[in-house]
Amino acid sequence: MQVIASSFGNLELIVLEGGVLAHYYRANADPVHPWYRTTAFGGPATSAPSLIQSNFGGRGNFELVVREGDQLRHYWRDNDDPTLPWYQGALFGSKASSAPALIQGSLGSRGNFEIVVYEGDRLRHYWRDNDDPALPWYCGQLIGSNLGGAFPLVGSDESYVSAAPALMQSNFGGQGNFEVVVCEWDPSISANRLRHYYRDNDVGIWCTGVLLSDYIKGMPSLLQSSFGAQGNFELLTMRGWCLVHFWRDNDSAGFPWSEEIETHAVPPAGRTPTPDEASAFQSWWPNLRNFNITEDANLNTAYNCIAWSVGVTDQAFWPGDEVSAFDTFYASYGWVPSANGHREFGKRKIALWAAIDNNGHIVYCTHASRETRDCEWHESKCGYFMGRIMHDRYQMQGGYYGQMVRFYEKAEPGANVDLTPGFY
Amino acid sequence: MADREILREKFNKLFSEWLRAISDPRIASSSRPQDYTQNKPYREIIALGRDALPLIVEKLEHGVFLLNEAALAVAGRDLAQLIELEKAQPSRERVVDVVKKPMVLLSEQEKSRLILRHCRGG
Repeated sequence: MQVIASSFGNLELIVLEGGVLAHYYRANADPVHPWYRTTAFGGPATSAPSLIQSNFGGRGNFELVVREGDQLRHYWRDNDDPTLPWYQGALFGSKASSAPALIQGSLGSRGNFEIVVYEGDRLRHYWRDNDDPALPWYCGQLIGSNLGGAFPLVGSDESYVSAAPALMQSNFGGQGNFEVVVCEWDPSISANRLRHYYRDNDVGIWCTGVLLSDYIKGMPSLLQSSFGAQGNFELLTMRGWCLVHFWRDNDSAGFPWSEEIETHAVPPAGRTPTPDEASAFQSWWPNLRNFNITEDANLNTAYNCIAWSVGVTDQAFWPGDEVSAFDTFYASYGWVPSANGHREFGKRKIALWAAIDNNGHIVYCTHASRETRDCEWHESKCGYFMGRIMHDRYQMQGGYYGQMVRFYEKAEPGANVDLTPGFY
Repeated sequence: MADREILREKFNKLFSEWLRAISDPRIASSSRPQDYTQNKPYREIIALGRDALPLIVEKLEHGVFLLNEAALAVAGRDLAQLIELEKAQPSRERVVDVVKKPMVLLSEQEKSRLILRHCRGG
């Protein structure tokens, strides 16, 4: 299914219902925001549909493409006709093997329709020339190789539906490039990673971008936001059983991608903080939202965060202010430096925190937190007197402890089991 | 009032002031011992001088290891010296295994034990 916000002021939704397409909308003018089902049409559809509102007609028609067998079918709704009829358009393409991704780009005078869809383990580009009165569909280039992405929809009887790639047009290049993010099978880990492709629309060539992350288990969703001067790319998908937000910093050299977990499929240990506790902790760590109390304040003042990070609760440690002192300390407990803080199967991580000056240099180390539960739950003993909390690792940034500057890892069988091949 | 009692009263007052100072969340949330020493009452405890050492030692005996720095300062020692003194002890009489453990691996409680052994009574 796909939801868009339309010029009617509503949310519009198309779902596949037993091979036919059904339109729903949410009446946003109604204060209770009811959803209505209007009509079912089309079929036999064999994928999730891709829906946009185009610039055809006075109001902007709805345009929809869906897989029909191994071809693609176009439907459109005339939004200027008071009866809002859906029309069946062309059947085109061949060997399509996933749900399509549809946009109206800026190429041509009116703006062509652009589609990418899986064709086996590659991607096929199609477009419709919207300046030609016959509105012909064209088969474009075949892109990439070894692409994955066939995610069964768990709990659905539409088990043949597979995920669409993510497609958008960015503001890179004179004409605006097409940007695609798709899953790519990595045989070395027997799992999907994310691959970025882009079409340089100034020269009309598809290019291969970076490969990132691992154990991707959901379809990606991609947009260009207003963050940064150029506008960052923002991407949501499932890594393991957690929803993860990736973003590309379009203002930095090399356009680095970052990653931050958004939902925790596993709940934290401990008890919910009282309103007073929540308010106090959030005044010290302004980004903290998801956390539980795992040890009350002043219950055990004999140990501190460093001791907790190595599992000791009857002594306190402070190896020094330098990162090198912590390297020595953690090595003595079997923790070795890790390339990053992202969770991995069969491992736990420690994050070392530090105060950073205006030039980005470490002033002194401040804290350590340890991943004690799947889905990026870290646990921090807060000094000697403020108890212990289980918290979202990222959300502790920007407060008293500064930033994460180094990570350590240690084997723990069974940790992050969702980041294993074949786990759904 | 005897000088010793005056000193104890002064020390207790400064100790209470220090406890208040370190209840500031910015300090209380820190595991870094230096953050607990950079305040006026702590400096004034050190300024009491060597005579205050028995009073500081009493606190160390009760687990207040955050006074380690104060004890070393009034005793005119540093940790490296205490480690060397401890190494000179027969291995079975050592209170901390300073041979196997470099300084970065010592806990604050172990540092207290070294201070109690080598600084008590000057």
